[in-house]
Amino acid sequence: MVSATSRSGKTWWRGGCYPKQPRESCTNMSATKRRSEPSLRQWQDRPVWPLTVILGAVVVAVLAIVIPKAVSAALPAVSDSKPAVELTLGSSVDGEWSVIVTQSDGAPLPCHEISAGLMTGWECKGSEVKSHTFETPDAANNGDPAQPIRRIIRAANLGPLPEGGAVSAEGPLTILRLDQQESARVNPELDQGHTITGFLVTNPPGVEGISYVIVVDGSEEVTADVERSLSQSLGAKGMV
Amino acid sequence: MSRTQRNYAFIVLVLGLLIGIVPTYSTSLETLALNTSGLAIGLPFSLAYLFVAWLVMRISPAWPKAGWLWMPLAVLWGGFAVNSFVYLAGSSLSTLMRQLDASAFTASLAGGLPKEVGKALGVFLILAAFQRLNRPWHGFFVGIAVGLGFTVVENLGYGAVGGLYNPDSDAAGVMQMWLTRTQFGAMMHSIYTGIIGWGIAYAMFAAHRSTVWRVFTALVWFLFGFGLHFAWNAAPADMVVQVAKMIGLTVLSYATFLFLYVRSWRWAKKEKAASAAAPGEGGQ
Repeated sequence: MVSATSRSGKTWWRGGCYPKQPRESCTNMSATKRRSEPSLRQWQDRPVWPLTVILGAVVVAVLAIVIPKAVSAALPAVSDSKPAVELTLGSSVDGEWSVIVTQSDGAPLPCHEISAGLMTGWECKGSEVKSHTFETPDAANNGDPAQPIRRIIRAANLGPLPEGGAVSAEGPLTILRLDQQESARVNPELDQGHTITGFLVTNPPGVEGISYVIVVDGSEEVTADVERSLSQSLGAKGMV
Repeated sequence: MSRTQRNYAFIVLVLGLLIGIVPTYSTSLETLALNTSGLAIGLPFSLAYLFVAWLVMRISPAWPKAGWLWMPLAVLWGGFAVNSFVYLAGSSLSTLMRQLDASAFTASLAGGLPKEVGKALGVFLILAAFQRLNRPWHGFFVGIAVGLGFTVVENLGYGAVGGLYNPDSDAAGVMQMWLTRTQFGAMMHSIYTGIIGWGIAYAMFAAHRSTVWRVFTALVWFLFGFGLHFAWNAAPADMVVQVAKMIGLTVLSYATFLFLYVRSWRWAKKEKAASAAAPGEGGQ
């Protein structure tokens, strides 16, 4: 066996001779040349990896995923351990339109953030609220303002495009309410008694060119809280 | 490695591919059924990705002369088998980050860990299954191909989802998503897994090394590739920090990739020259 020494004096490479290789044939090369030109002798061509190593790699890979999963299962659920947050819809930039959703008594609606794909999502008293922001589409201004709502409801539920529903519009706020039958068609996993409602807020104060769709998969109570908060917020700005 | 042992690696590889089909559908491709333009627009983009990446590898003297099968298998492993790990993790890794009050790193762990672990396993199995893949640069190219497969399938899924989230039309959303993902961080999966693949192959094929050294080397390179992915996915609240982070990571990732690409080129070229001078040695 040989070792090579780098300019710093540290041994960076050991070995190089096969066990039965003539010693002179592997010591002819200078250390500098070995470093700059990796010799064929630096690699093993046909290493023996037993089946246990192959299966061991699979087990290690699975454990790398399962262990954090087990840690998560052992920790208290987020809704149990973390305080509820306020449900704030609209822009996160100071001075631009935003609204905190409140209950009928004026207290903030207690929610917990949830994963919602490309949307921002909350779980609030058993209902799901999801918000999506986008550049104001032409359809909202010139065409059917309910169409963006239908499309985002489809995206939020990964279901078919909703048909029908009651559309109401006032100022920048358009609301699409699906009945229970259509809600269940769009999302068959929806809780009993829950419906799907979509809210489109087009170009609210201070955020020209931007629209928001808020989708509520939930109870009548939470849907009413969102609707009232949006209406009051936009009304207070003199737009509804 | 004996033929039987190589066959075992190959069997595990094929089983992983078959098992991955169902989770791939549910994690990435289900939305294509809702948005068929995702496939119609996504396929030409996918073919372009595959062609460009193949070309980048094929022009290098480090391109493995190990038959044609390794690359399709690597691309398929990245596209399908890796999703088994994504499916296995489910939403629990996102939940864990929220439980630990580290929401900024939700996508880092939930997105980075199962994908890089799955891709790294694929690189190892392919290197173990193909006798003539036996150099660090082969691991680098296998890693690029595995990452490429993952990128293409992930982008097909994201494209279809992008179409759903577009308020105007499916097609516009698909196009916008592909262009955005191509513009910002194109081929990042190939870069991460290429780096990891280099390390895994180095650990597997360096001569006269102890088992501890091999495990340590593979782990260090894995952590480097995974660390880049983890940091890329992090979402700090401060937008200035976010932009600076993305610029820094882009430079570091592409520079590392370029360094390994050039090193692969040079080492493979030198080995070919040495091999020609001393026939009988080596095993490219």
